[in-house]
Amino acid sequence: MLMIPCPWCGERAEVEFAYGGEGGLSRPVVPGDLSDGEWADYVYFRKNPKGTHCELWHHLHGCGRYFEVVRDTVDNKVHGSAESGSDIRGVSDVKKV
Amino acid sequence: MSRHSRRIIGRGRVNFGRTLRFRFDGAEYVGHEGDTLTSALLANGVWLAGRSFKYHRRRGFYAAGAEETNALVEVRGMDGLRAPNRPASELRLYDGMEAFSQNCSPSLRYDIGALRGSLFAPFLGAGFYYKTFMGPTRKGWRFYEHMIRRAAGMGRLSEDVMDHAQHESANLFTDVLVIGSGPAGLAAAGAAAASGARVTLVERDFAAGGSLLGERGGSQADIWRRRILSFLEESENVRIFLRTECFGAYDGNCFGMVERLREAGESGAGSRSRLWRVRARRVILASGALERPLVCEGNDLPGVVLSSAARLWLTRWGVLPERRIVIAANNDSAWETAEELAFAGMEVGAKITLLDARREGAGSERLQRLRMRGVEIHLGYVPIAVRGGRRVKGLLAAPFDADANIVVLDNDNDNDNDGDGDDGAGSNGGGDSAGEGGTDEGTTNEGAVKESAEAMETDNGVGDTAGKVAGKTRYFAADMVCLSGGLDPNLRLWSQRGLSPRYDEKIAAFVPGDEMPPGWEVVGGARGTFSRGEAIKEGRRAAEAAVGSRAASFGADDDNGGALADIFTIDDGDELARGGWRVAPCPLWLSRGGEDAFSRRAFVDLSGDVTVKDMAIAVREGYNQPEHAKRYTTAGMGADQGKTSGTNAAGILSLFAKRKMERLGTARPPYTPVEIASLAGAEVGRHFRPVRRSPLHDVHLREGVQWIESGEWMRARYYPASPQESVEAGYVRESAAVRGGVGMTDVSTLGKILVQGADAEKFLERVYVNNIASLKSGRVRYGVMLRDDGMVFDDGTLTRTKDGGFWITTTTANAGAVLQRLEFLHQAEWRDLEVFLTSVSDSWAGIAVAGRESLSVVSSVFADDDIASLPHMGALEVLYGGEFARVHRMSFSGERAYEVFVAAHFGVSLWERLREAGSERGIVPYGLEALDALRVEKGHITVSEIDGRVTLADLRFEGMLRRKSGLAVGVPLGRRAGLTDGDRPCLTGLRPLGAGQRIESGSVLFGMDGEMSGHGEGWVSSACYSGECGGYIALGFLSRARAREGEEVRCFNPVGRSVVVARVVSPCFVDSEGERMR
Repeated sequence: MLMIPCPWCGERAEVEFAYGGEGGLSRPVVPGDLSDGEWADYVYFRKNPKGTHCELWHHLHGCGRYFEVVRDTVDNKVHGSAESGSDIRGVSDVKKV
Repeated sequence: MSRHSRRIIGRGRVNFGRTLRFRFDGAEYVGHEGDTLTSALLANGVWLAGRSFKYHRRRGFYAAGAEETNALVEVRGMDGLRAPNRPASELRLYDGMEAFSQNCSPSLRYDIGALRGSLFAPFLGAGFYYKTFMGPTRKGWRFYEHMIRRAAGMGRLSEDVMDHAQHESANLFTDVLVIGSGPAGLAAAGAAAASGARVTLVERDFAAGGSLLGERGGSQADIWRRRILSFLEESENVRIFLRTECFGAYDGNCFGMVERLREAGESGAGSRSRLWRVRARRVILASGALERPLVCEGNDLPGVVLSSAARLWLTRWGVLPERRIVIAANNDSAWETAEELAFAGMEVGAKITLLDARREGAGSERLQRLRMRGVEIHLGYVPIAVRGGRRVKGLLAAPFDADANIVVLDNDNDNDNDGDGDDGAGSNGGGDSAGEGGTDEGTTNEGAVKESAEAMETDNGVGDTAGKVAGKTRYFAADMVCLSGGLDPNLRLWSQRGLSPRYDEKIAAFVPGDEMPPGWEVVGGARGTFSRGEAIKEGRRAAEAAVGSRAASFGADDDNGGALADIFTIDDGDELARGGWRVAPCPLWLSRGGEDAFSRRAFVDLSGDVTVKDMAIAVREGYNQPEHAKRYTTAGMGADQGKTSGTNAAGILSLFAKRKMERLGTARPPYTPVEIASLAGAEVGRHFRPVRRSPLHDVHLREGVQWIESGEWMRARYYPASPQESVEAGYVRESAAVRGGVGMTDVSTLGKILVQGADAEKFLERVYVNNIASLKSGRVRYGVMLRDDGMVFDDGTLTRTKDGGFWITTTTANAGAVLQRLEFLHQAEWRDLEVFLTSVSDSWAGIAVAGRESLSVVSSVFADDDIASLPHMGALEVLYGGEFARVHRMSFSGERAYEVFVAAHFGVSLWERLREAGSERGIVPYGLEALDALRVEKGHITVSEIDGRVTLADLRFEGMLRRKSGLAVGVPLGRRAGLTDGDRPCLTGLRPLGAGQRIESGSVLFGMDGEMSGHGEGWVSSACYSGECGGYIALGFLSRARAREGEEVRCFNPVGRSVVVARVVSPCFVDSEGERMR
């Protein structure tokens, strides 16, 4: 079971959280400017990396916040977390909370 | 032999002063405090413990710990509860224990399955199921299924007895988790504890000490154990768990442990087990090593045991089950067994014979010592076959040339005993003293050892460590045969973390590789360190590394540290430090020639009845990869998960497949079986799946409600007018009352969310497809939100509150999902918006009053004059009991209606006042069924229609889309060609042509021509009886429904396979102009 560092509450057990999907995506600001293909990319396509992965977690049974976590999908090591929108993709040594 | 002469006085840790009575298979026995079921039964001369899983062969006690594969028993609990598959070796005896053997019918001694075993054995070889039931003969499954199902499965559950025992769960956080309390574990715990760190020591046994428990009381090793234990017990930062299984190692150094507080039949207060979720910063695995047997013919007969088990039975429980004992081994550990048995056996005249595959044995010093104690030793001999019928009679051994890796065997003893080893039940009808099924070789072979220098032609290209045969065999009569094929570091928990051990040729076993899970150390036997002195050093070093410099302080000033320093002062010459292997073991996977020389009675895996022949077949048929061979043969897949068989199976596979040593399979939790009840803990029944109750729950009870569980809610289904009234009669009556006058229903379950903040409006404009900006204060608006892919997500209402925020409602079913989705959009997607979302679902009670008399009812409760002038879709903030309340005039039923929301604690009072105010107008409470029927008549949708596959247009809601809705979630993708296709099924009404005919929801719609196959042209989503229409009606989705009104379609119900012809009509069956509600 993961220990997830919530930026607000500190390290907590995985059971307190809900997975929120891939992190670091940015929603199109002007939806009309996007082609169907770009929309499809945003709505349907997700990375499934072997290695570090930026993802959102929701502290559902805690503070209720969504935040970003960088986790290694191979050994489940959590490298760090940050408030959502910080864009910590590709950062493998984010300062641990 | 008399009953108690199997106990050696002065040995063991059993309290002879306290006698315990127990029953096994109905017979009464006596044991003592400190006994396990195994030791107590052996002391009573009972050898037969159960039947094997597949062939129902007779099996005896085999091991002294978790690796017991044979003696799995059922413990009978209170009220006849059955707790199956408990290893007898771990069952601490208690007074009144009632245990039963398994896999036997009608009884352990005479078992019908054994007949099946001997008849079918040739057919149940490796891959039997695959070959028989997945190929062209798969139809055979139907024929055999009931037989196989009856024969399969381990133990029995109590189907009709409820387990009333409590189980609990708890969390534990620790700095250092030490798993195993043998020498290495105790040393690690002691050294870690001295630093002041929180230390947790876990031991599966009911006593701490591991191998030290086999030492004589008062010996140096025993004193050491007691000293360090008392140090640990006195340390406040140390927690010791006994009788606790650390069964799983998970991510983030999280561990699952089950603390067994009582057996099923043991009386006592409190919970029977406690599940611990442990979080450890550092982990020291000191789980020791498990002995594996040697594989030879007949190695499963009762009386064949692990040599370590025989040693522990004697040293810990004072039981020497037999007097004629042969030990066959390839390593030094068995010599310790021989020494202990010989020492104790001298007094009672036991005869110990030791065979070692190695020509030098365990060294000359030990050889002399053992010979002086009267042990007969034959070096360079390996076991060929265990002889016997119901029990062990003797062991046939052959010289082994370790240099040439050749087992020397003469011809005559080969293949002459296919009859023996069979069960009496099959061949001669039983009777203990009757024929033993096969020849009694104790007399014939003993004197018939023949000399033969010729090698047999059994070499089928088998490689290094399968003995080949070249000389004279010897027969040794014996009542117990102890086998030792080496020690396997117990790495299960380590492997559960996804690591593979490497094969170490020096000790012929798998040891941990260099890679460790973060924070882990493996010490002692688990690491392949079999010397006690070394294990203690390793444990201490690992603990010091784990706790860092803090540990360095011990040995210095403080009292504890001083004591500990003393404890850790051990000389290499001390008795405590002895043990370990002086002479390398000689790896030996098979002690007899090629694969074909083996009959089906040389067992690799006792718990799954997997034989060497099965392994040979698997390789011959191409399953020579470890993972394939494991599944094809089921080796290592039995109840013990390969604890004693894994390495032997890997070795045999490496021989047959000519591969290097690779471990078979991976380790997964649990280490030993864990009862589901322990995992469930207190979360049973309603504690597992609680229900939510409306604040009006009690008032519904007073109204005589019939409940229905709807999602997590208990909701009022209908209120029967009489006990006989059916659901259908009830909802028809209730809806008629609403249409004819006035009714009231509980709508408290709707999701309710407050959306506040400067950007609340902007936020909701992006969430809903509707125009929100134009929503004025004091008005209610129906709103729809989409998913990103353009499908409808949820619907509900919005009201602008006086303070500029919004009060929105969601469907009952989606309340949680909508809030989570809004939080996601707010926090992850539109972080720049200033919005605050608050769930207020539980803060409000809601009651809908519907019908043309509704105004007079509501206004007589609320004094506010504005209620009378409240227009349709108007909202009013009023006071009720001095607190804010909301009155929304809106209609789900199609009648004039008001939804009144008050603080939850006023719900009951509001209901009662409305009920009273409406009494002279004949107000009727209506339930979920009537609510549903009324909305179907009106063509209003619920989650039955919003099933995740429909678009706005499918619901005929395209007009709802505001002009500049491009920013709203789901609108861009909702414009894709496939979703705007005019042929898509859209909402429609359906009426059966025939009077009294009913359409079932879930029916598939087909046109009047053609075959009814495939997905059809649409489906029925909701159906009910309509009083207004005088018949059954339905809502559904039909391709091009708008243009097809008046047409007929066929509604095919795939469940009843019935067809109803219906006319396509408008989805609004009553008051299509909406005059009533306005």
